[in-house]
Amino acid sequence: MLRMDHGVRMIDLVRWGALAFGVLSLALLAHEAMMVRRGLRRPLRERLLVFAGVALLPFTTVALGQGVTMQGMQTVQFCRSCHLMHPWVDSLKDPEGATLAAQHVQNRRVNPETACYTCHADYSLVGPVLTKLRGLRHVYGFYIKRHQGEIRMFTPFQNATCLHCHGGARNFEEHPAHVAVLDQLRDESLSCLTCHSSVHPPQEPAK
Amino acid sequence: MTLPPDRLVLLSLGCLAGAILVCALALLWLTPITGLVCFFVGTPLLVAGIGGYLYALLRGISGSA
Repeated sequence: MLRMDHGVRMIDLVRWGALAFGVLSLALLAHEAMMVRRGLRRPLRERLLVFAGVALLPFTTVALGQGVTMQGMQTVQFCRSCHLMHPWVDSLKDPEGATLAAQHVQNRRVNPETACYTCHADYSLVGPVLTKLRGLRHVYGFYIKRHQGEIRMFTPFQNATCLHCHGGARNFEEHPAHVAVLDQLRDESLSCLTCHSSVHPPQEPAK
Repeated sequence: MTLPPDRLVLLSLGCLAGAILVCALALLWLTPITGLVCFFVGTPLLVAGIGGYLYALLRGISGSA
C-alpha cells in the first residue's frame, strides 16, 4: 500500500478524511432537519446550494468509505476477522513455515499486508468484482449455512494467479522443471499445485 | 399513501445519515458484515436520500430544501 513520509499510509489519511467528511455531513443534515422541523423556508437559490451540500457531502463520505472498505477487504487482517481463517493467516507469520504461502510472505515475494488477496484474487478485467462475489459466498457459507467442515475453494486454483507474477520471469521459465510443462501450465491443463502441493498447513479434522 | 411534505425531507435526511453511519462503522471496524452493510445498505440509503431530497426540492414541498 502507498506510504507517505514518516510511515503515514495514504489509506489511513483517506479513512480519517472520510470520517471527517462524515462528521461534517451529519452536522449539516442535523441542521437541515432542525430547519424543516421549525418550518423555516429559504429562497430558491439557497435551496439549491443546500441541496448541493446535502447531496455532495454524504456522497463523498460514502464513496470514500466504500473505497477504503474495498482496500481494507484486501488485507490479511480482514481475512483473519473470521475465526476459521486464523490457522491459515497465522501460519503465514511463522518464520519457520515451510509452506508455499509462508515462504512467499517470509521472503517478501508478496506484500505481507495483502498476502491472501494477492494469491486468491482474479486478475481478469472484472476480476476484483468476481473476487468479492466469491467472498460473498464465503460469508453466506459461514454465517447462513454455518459451515463447519473442511474448507475448500469454490473453484480450482487457477495457474493464471501464479503466472500473474511468475509468468515471464527468467528464473521461472528457465527452471528445468518448468521448461517441459510451460505450455501446459499456461493453458491450465496442468496445475501448479500438482508439484507445489504444500501451499497451506493441512487442515485439522472437523470436530 | 401520501407522505406529508416535511416528513419526506426528514426521511431523506435520515436515509443520508444512515448511509453515512453504516460507512463510518465499516471505516472504524471492518469485518465481512460491516463491509457488506456499507455496500448493500449504504448505497440504497444514499440513493434514496438524495432522490427523496431532490424530489422534495423539485416539487417545492420542502421548507428548507
